[in-house]
Amino acid sequence: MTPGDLGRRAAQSSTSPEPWPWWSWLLTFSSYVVLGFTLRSVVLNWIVGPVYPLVVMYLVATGFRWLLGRREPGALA
Amino acid sequence: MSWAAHEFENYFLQRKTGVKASFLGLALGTLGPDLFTKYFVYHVPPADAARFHRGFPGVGFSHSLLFGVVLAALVLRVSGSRSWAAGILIGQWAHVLTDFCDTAGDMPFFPFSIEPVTISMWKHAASQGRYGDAAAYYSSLGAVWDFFWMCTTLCFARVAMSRDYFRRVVVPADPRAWGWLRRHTRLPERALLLVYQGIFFYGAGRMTSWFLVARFRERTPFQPTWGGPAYIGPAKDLSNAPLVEVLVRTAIGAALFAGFLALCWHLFIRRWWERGEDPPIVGERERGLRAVFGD
Repeated sequence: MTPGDLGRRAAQSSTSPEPWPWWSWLLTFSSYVVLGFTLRSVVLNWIVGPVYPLVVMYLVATGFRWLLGRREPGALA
Repeated sequence: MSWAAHEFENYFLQRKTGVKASFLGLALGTLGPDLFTKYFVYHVPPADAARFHRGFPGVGFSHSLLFGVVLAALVLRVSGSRSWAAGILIGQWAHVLTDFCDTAGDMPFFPFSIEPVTISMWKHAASQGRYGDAAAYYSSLGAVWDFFWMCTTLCFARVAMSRDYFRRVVVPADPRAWGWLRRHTRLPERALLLVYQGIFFYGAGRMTSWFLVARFRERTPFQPTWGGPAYIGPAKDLSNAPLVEVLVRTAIGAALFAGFLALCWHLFIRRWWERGEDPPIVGERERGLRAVFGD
């Protein structure tokens, strides 16, 4: 499929719910600030920082669910 | 130098440019000038840090408008993507303009003028090392500047961080890159949304963390006055030229830069631009894209 095909198939503009509730952002943000304050440049750099929500809210949460035997796509939400 | 402001600017710029600029291109453009230079800035002798970072000789060319043009032109030539070229150019230029604020300033019209342009709102403190630099920045008007940009983004560009905007604008502006990420990482849309929103998170997170580090670990005084913080002593300007001389040199540099840009446009950039392609959504004037994610 080419980008042209992708564009031609475009047809969506309705509002869709945000997939991540505010409390999962709050928890993730709080943990990041605590880690940042403690570890400083280990966490507050441009590689770790932008992917931190992905790692904590999706990958780690999905991993936990997988370990607990619930294999559906999971997250903090 | 600005710290978290560079992350917040991305969403503001994305909101203004819509589907004509790739968000990933914008992010690379705004982060680019510091991405490969900051590490070295903290490892040169402290007395040379500011000149090395922003001046000449040094890596100050990375904070010039021409550097953005070169990067964008190369990306346009190699990828043929106008949205990536536009994103990188706009992002890098935003970084250059934002960095006028500290005492080192930057050389927007390098190599036609090596006169630094600055409004000296806060001190360039790379000579203090990474932690000292962060503490000084978040003890100065820089902290206010970052907070201002965060509030501006939340007030005027909050919609740009929503899932709908991600679907309607961000992905359509760059279907190749997001599609590639989707295929190669096998991440669902909600995870890719985290990648998109992660830049804002990073800006807000490091702004808060470094501010707390400055207050409670480095214990530096909060001195948000023009040209502060005072506790690190007087700033060394990269140029001792009087204001009129700075203005004249900068004006000459700007004129030469504009002429050089026009020449490059006519000689080869226009050809590359015409050969390049817009994201499909731009040409078809449609709104909405679910093809990449299918739900």
